[in-house]
Amino acid sequence: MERALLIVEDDLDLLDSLGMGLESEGYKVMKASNGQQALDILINLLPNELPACIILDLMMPIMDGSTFLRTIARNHPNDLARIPILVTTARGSASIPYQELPPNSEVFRKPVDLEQLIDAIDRHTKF
Amino acid sequence: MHRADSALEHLNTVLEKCQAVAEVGGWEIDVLNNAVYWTPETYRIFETSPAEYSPSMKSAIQFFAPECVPTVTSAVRDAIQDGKPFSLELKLITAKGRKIWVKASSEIVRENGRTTKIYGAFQNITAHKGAERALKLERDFTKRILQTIGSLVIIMDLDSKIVQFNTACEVATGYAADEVIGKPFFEYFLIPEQKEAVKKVFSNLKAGQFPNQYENYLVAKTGVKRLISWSNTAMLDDKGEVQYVIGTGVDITERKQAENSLKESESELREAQRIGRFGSWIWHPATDEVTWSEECYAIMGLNPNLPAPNFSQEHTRFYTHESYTELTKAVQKTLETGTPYILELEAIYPNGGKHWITARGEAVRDSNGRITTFRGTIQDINEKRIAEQALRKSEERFRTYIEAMPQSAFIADSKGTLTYFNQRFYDYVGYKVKIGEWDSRTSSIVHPDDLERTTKAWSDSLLTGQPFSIVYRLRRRDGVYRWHLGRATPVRDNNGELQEWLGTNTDIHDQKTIEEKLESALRARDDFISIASHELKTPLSSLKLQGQIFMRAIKRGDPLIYLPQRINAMVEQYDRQIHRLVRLVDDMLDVSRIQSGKLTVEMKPACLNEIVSEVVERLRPQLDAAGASVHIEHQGQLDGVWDRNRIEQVVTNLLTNALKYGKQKPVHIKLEQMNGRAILSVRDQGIGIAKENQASHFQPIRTRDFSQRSERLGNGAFHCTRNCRITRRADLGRK
Repeated sequence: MERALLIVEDDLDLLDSLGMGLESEGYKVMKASNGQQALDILINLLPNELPACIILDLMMPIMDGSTFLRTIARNHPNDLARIPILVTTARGSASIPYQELPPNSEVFRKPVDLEQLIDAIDRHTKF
Repeated sequence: MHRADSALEHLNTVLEKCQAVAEVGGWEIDVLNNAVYWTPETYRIFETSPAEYSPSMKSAIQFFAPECVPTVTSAVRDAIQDGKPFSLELKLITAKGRKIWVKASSEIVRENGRTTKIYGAFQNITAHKGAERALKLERDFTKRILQTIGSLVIIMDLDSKIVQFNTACEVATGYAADEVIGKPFFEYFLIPEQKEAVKKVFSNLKAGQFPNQYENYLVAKTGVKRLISWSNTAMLDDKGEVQYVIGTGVDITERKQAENSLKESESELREAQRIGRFGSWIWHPATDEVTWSEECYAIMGLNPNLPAPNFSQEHTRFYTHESYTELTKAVQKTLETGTPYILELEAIYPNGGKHWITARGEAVRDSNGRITTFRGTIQDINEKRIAEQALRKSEERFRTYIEAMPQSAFIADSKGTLTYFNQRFYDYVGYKVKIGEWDSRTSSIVHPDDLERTTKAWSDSLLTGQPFSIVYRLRRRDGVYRWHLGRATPVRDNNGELQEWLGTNTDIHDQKTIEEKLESALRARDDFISIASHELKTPLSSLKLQGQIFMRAIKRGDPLIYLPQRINAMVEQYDRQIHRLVRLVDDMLDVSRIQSGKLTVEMKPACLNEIVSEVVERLRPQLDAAGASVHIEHQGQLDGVWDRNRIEQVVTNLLTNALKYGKQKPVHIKLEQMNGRAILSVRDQGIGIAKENQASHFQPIRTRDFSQRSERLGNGAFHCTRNCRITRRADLGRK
């Protein structure tokens, strides 16, 4: 079965590139350019359509990554909040808000290495 | 017989003469015959004669004074009944009524156990009795005097045994006369050190060296020593030999103490005058006589052995002209009104040197109320005066310094009451701040937000005596609050007692503003670096991803990767990301150029409508991808002279912004012409810009609040302001 992923990234070029890269690796890719869009997509999915993994940028307009995480933790603790999160960020390590990230998350600093990202997706989607 | 009679008669005559000479009269009581016989001398004593009176027992007894009658009666009865002789001194009244004393003595003749005859004699002892009474009187008198006089009187025999010890001695020593009479004087009353000396005085007295004077201590029963001044003499016997030594002493203990304390206080006064550098003087205006204490000479620099200079003439040379005039005026006034004077005068030493003294004087009146004497003091206050002058100078210097200092300054007393503000302070606040308690008006000088902590810090300092230091805002005369560094230091006296507070307010507003700006600039730089790196990383991420995708496909042996449209898409993506990188780098360079004023523009004639259309076309793929439509509205050609590149940059920035925040709703571009100016507006229908961010939005760098509308690398909007006039009409929450 095709594994689904949700990419949340405000830079459209990067969103496209990532989408293309992961599609060519065989994933079904959903795209959102901010936290609000991502939330809109997720809540309209059936349980079996939920992505195996969310690739989430932190700094985005409309709704940033941290707010998105807080929202699903608060409003959807039993389904959405359980999806593994792969955080992509351009921030320096000192300013990554680790305390805001859930336990089922992993951080990738930009520019993201595709090999490492795919490894992580594989790890998190085995179960 | 005749011869015998003649002899008896002769014998009677002799007896009679003898009785007359000795004034002794005889008598006989013939008890058996109850008859009484008197000799002629008895008649004479009783001043009667045989012719006038014939004695009988009964009548004879009546001659005695009534108080003696019972004695006589009883003595005669005893003599008759018991044969008991008597010898009595009796008072009797003669026939002529004279009162005389007689001594009556008897001899009893008894036969067969019965008294038959009593022979007796009367002796006129009146003269003797008078002498005896006089002697007794004198003795009593002497004794009374001895007991009542205040002086101590001790009489000693030659062995120094005490014979007389009067009441004053008892009082002074605490011994009763009975306790010491008969006891040796030296054993009782002397202190060991003086014993030998007193013994010597006693020996001298015995040897006839008297009268003499001597002072020695007498030890009282309680052990207390009394100093006695003795006047000693001796009493001689009939042979002219010293029989008794008489010491009359006066207790001078108190007097001596008084003398000593007077001496002490005189010496103390002298010392006090010397130490206090003040001298006392007396002046008699009538005679112009002046008396000076030693210190007066010392103060005026004169020889103390010379007589004190008179006032009216000699004093002129002791003072400067002004001081002398002042002094004579004051003296004159005192003479007229009696009011005392105190003056500070400049005096002149004999060598010409000048010095300052305080002169005090007052008038002394006699019993008639007339001013007869002046008395007063002079005190050397040169050091004090010099110190005062120095202090005044230093205070003046201090005030001058305070007035000249560039800060506003104040002085408060130890309780915090404000006592002084310098002119600069008044100039700053713009009104004459009231000296005194810190009131509401004074408080209003301090910015309301700073008032509470200022009041607390000031109270804390007043309580602890620790320096006051605060950064706060003070209101200038125009109502503008400016930042100040307020400081107050406690000023303490030599004993460490807090005297007052000296405070300053330094205007640090500019400095603080610069600091704030610098801080903000540093923060902005950090933000810039952080955002720039973030911005650069995005196209780099894309490039890296593209490369990795292709490499993975090649490794996989995926033939699709070689399809022309895939390669084309990849190259386009590469080109776009590189273009983005170039633009970002250019933007950053521009930021620093704009800030340093080195941005150059190349002005050329062009049409604004064309420039805008071209930018929109260039951004078409992105606009399509975002699903946003762009509508251009214009009123004819807008031809002008522009830097085409910069205008393109501005429009690109505004459009990409609108794309990102416009919620995929239509974007409107409007071109207008007004008063020779072109107006370009780009309007999206997104989240807008929060009011509080509108002012800073067109600054080069802003916050990291990416959830709100703000740009990552704010250069775009900043470019807009630098290249065009921007009017902001963006509202957050716009639908």
